[in-house]
Amino acid sequence: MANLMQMSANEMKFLVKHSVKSLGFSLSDQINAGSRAATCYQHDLADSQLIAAALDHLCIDVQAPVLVRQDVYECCFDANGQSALIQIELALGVGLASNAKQIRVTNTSEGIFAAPVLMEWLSQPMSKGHANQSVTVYFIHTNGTQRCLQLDANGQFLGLYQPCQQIIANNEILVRVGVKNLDSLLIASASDLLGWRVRSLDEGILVDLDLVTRLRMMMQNSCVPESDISRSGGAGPD
Amino acid sequence: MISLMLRPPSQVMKLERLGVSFASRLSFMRTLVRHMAQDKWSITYSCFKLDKNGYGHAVFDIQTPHSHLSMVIFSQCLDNSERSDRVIADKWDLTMTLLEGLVDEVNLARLAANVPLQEKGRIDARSLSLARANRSTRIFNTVLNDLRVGKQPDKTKLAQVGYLYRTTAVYGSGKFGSCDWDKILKRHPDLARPFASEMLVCYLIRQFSLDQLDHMVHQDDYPHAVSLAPELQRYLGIGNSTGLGMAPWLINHPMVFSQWVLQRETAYAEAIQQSVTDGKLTELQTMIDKACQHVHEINTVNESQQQNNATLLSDLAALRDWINDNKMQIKSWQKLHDWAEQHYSLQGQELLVSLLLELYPQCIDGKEDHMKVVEVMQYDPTACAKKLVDAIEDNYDWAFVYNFDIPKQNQTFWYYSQAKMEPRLGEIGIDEGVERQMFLGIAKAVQECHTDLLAYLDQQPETCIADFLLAWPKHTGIVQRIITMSQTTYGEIRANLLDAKVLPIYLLRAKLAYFGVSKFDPKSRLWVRNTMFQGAPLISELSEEFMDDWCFPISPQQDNQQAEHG
Repeated sequence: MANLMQMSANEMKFLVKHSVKSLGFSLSDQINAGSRAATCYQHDLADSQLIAAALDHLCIDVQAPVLVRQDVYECCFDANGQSALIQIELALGVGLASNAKQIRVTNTSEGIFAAPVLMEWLSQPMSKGHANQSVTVYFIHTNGTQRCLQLDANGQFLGLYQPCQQIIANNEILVRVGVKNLDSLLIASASDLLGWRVRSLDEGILVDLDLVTRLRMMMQNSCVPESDISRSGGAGPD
Repeated sequence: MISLMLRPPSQVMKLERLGVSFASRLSFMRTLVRHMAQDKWSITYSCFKLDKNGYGHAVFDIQTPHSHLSMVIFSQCLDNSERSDRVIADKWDLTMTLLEGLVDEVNLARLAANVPLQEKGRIDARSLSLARANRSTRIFNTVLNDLRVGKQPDKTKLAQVGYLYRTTAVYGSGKFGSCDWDKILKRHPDLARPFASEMLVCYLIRQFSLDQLDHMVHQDDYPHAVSLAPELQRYLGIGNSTGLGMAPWLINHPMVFSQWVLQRETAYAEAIQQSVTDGKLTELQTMIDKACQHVHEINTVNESQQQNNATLLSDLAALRDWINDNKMQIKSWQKLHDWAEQHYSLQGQELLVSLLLELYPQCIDGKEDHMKVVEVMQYDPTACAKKLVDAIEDNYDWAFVYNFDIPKQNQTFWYYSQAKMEPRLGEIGIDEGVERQMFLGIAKAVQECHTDLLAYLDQQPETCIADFLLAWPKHTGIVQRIITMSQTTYGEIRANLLDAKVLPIYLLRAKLAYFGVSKFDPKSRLWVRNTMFQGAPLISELSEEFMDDWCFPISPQQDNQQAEHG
C-alpha cells in the first residue's frame, strides 16, 4: 500500500488527459485517452503498468491508423506503433461502417483500450454495422497472454476470457462481430467487472505512486509556466 | 395537449443574454434549501471546539433521508497579509470537507493533517467536497466589536457586504481524492443534483460563520455582549469570489448547461401559459417591488454594472407602471412577456423570467430532478457524412458570423498556469503559451471542420463520418461535439471566446445564476464577487413552517439603535 495512492476515476481521467495534451496530441486524443484509462481502470481492465506502457507507446508523429486491406470479411489497419489509448476509434469506426465481420489493427499495443470505444458506440443505435450481434475484442494482456472481452449488442459486458487458441499476434487487436463459440476460459464475469466499478466508486482506485508522479510531471508540462505577466492575467485579487 | 412555446436557442444561448441571468426558484441553492426543509434534514454540531479567538475545529452532523454525513471545519489564524482570494493562495481562515458518516479521532487527525493544505493535501472517497473560506476584512471585526459592546451592527454596512466569510474554492467531483460524481448519484440521492454537495458546504459555512461569531462575542471579557439579531443573521449570506475557472467548465460541459437551460425554459414556457388572475398580478407587483429594493441595495463600484443596475431599476419601474395602467387588458402572461421583449433591456427581460417562475412553483418543482444528465459526447461513425453537414448548418449557423481572418476575433487564448493550474487569459503575439491553450474556440473549430467536410464530400459524396475522420482525424473532437449537441434543444453557448474583447464574467454569471447567487459585483472582466444564501433560512428555521420566499433578499428594516438580543 505504501507505494499506492488512492484517487478518483475523475482524477485519473484528468491526469491522463493533460498528460496526453503535454505531448502535443489533439483535444479528442486527450479526452479519449483520459476517458479510456479511467473506464478500464474502474473495471480492473487496466492497471498502472498498462497506463505507463500506453504512455510509453504514444507516437506524436502518428495522426491516424492506415487502412491496409479491406474486403467483405475483414478491415485491416496499421496503427504505425500507436497505442490503442488514442486513435483506435478511427479504425474501428471505418470497420463497423463497412460491415466487416472483423477488424484487425496491427502494429499497436494496449488493445483493451478499444473496449470503451465499442461500449459507447454499441450503447446507442447505429446506422450500419453489427446488426444486434455481440462484439469480441481480442488483445494482449500485460503479462503477454491473449485475452478477449466480449460485449453484447448493446455494449454491456458478457465476460473477460482467455482464448484457448492463438488468435492474434503480439502487436495486434482483433474485433470480431457475432462470435458464437469463443472457445475460451472465463477469467472475469460481467458481474465481476461491474463489481470492480462499484468498488472503485466506494473506495476510489489505487494507482502506483510512480505513475502518479509521472502523470503529474507530464500534466505540468501542459500548463504555461508562472510569470508576473501571466499572474496578472488571472482572476481574483491578490 | 397544448404545445409549449420555448424561447429559441438563437435568443436564449447568446452570451450577452446569459451574462445577465438571475437566480430563480430552480437554482441549486433554492432547491437544496427546499429539500432540506421538506425532507426534514437534521443538522447539528457533534463537535464545536473553538478557542476565544474562534480557532479550532467544529463538526456538523447531517442526517438526510438517505445519508448520514459530517462536515469538518478547521479554523486557523491567518494574517491579513496572507489573505488572498486567488486559487494560488496557500493558507485560509477556514478549510473544510463534507464526508460520509461519523468522524472519529483517527479520521479527525487525518483530516487535520490534510484539509487545511487544500490542493496540497489528500482526502479520500469518503469525502464529497473540499472547500475553504476567508473572513471579510471589510466587516467581520466591525460586527464582532459592535456585538461585544452590546451594539447591533450598522445595517447599512451589513448591506454593503452581506456576509462574514467569502468562499474562494469549493471542490467536488473527485478532486484531490474525493469521491466521483457517480458515487453521489448512486449512494446519496438527496445530493444527486448538480452541485448539491457544494451548495450544502456553502450553506454550512454560512451557518458556521454566524455560530463562530456568536462564540467569539460571548467571551468572559465582554459582559455586555449581545448576539446578532436573528433578522440580521438571516440577512447575512456567504460571500463568493468566482474567477476564470468557471468559464472553461461551461464550455467543457455543454450537455450539462444545455440541460439546465432546457429545464428553466420549459418551466418558463409553462408559466406564461398559466391564466392571469388579479391575485397573481398583485403577487407579481409585490415581487417587482422586492426585486427593485434588492437591486437598489447592490453595492458595486463597477461602472458597467452600476449602469446595468440603473437600467434594470428603470425597467422595473416602467414595468410596474405598465401593469398598473393595463391591469384589465393583461389577459395572458405572453402579452407581458412580449411587451418586456419590445421595451426593456436584456436584464429586465431576464429578471421577468425569474419573477414569473416565482409565481408558479408547480412549473418548477418537478424539474429540479431533471437538471442532471449523463455526459457522453459521441457520434455514430457509420452515419452518412452529409448528416454532419446538416447538423452544422442547422445548429451551428451562429458559428459562421465570426471571421477568424480578422486578428481581433482570434486574439485571446485561455490556458492553465503551472501555478495550481489556475486558468488565465493570454493575448496572441504578446503572452507566451498559445501552443498550450485550452480548446475553447468552438466556432472556429466548427468553421474549419465544415470547410474540410464540404471539400471531402465533393470528392466522396456517399462517404460516412468514419471515413471523413480517418482522412481528417483532427476534427474528431469537434465532430463528437457537433453530433452530440445537435441532439439537444439548446445546444451551445453562442459566443466567440477567442475574441479580443471577450467578457468571461458573462460566463461566470450564467453559471452562478443557476447556482442561485445574487448581488453580482464584477471586479474586472475576469472575476466577480457575489453573495450566496443571503436571506435563506438558518438551520434553526428549517424545522419551522417553511416559506420558500427568500429570493431577492433585502435589508431588514431595523433601526441602528442598540437592541438587546440573546
